[in-house]
Amino acid sequence: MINNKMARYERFAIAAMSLILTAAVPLSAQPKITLSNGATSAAIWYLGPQQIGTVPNGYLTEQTLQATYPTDQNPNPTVTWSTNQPSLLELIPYLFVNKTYSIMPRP
Amino acid sequence: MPPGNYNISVVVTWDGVQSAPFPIFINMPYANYVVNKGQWCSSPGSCDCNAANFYPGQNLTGYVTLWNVYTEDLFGNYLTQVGTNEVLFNQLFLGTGGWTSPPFSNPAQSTWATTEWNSNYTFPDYYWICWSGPLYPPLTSSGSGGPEVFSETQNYYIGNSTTNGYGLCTQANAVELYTNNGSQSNTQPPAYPATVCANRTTLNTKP
Repeated sequence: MINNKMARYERFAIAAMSLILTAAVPLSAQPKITLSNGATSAAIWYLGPQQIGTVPNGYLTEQTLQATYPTDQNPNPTVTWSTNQPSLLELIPYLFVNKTYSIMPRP
Repeated sequence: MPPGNYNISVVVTWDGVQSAPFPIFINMPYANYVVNKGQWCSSPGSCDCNAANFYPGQNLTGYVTLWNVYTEDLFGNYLTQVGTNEVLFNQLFLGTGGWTSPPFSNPAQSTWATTEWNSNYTFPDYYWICWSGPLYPPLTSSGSGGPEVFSETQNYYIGNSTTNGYGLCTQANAVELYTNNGSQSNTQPPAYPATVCANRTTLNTKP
């Protein structure tokens, strides 16, 4: 009886460990996109087909994304950006730094 | 309220290795919510045509009806202090009694942009007639049940602009001016179909 219980605990411990490993390995092996404040998602405003004048406070129509990939040792990596909705979202290179891009809604 | 598009994302490929999708939500001005506040008084005793910014002390007859306009985003939250403008067209004096040309002529298409926000979340839209001469049926101060004398179509554009027609169409409606109040009618669902504003669809008619 005791042995059976221990066996279950061991199986549980092994299962939990494998979950942690499977979750951790792909994350550390992937590049990551964040906002400059570390946020992992973004909301932007579409205020019409043409912007006239000053964008009101609190209604960001553009956000800057940055990519990081700590495990990559290449000092000159090839970094490309893409979106699944190019008709809705414009990707703008940020001052020739290929690890940082801006996003804007398209008209 | 339409569903927001949550299926927008960006990925980066770094030396051939792709990131997880970075989710992005695009929000926008979507709808107007309007409240008829009735007679406008800028202070106690200063009402209708005697209210500040209208014709105080000039002994004009007439009314000022205040409608407060809220604009909602895709979540139903109210926007504030964003650029706003309107286009007004098909402006018709209806020939009710003496309410015809002369003394009135139908005004041309015009525009309006708010410079005033009430407690940040609404801007005022005033419907008014102030006049000095005799009219039949008579113009009076604010009330209800008077005959209609004027109508027009109104398109609201909300966004970052006070320039005519820029921004997003959040509402189209008719405006009816009576001898003692002004009101909106035939209000179209916000921005749908978008062509209602884009095509300057006429929403007011002669009764």
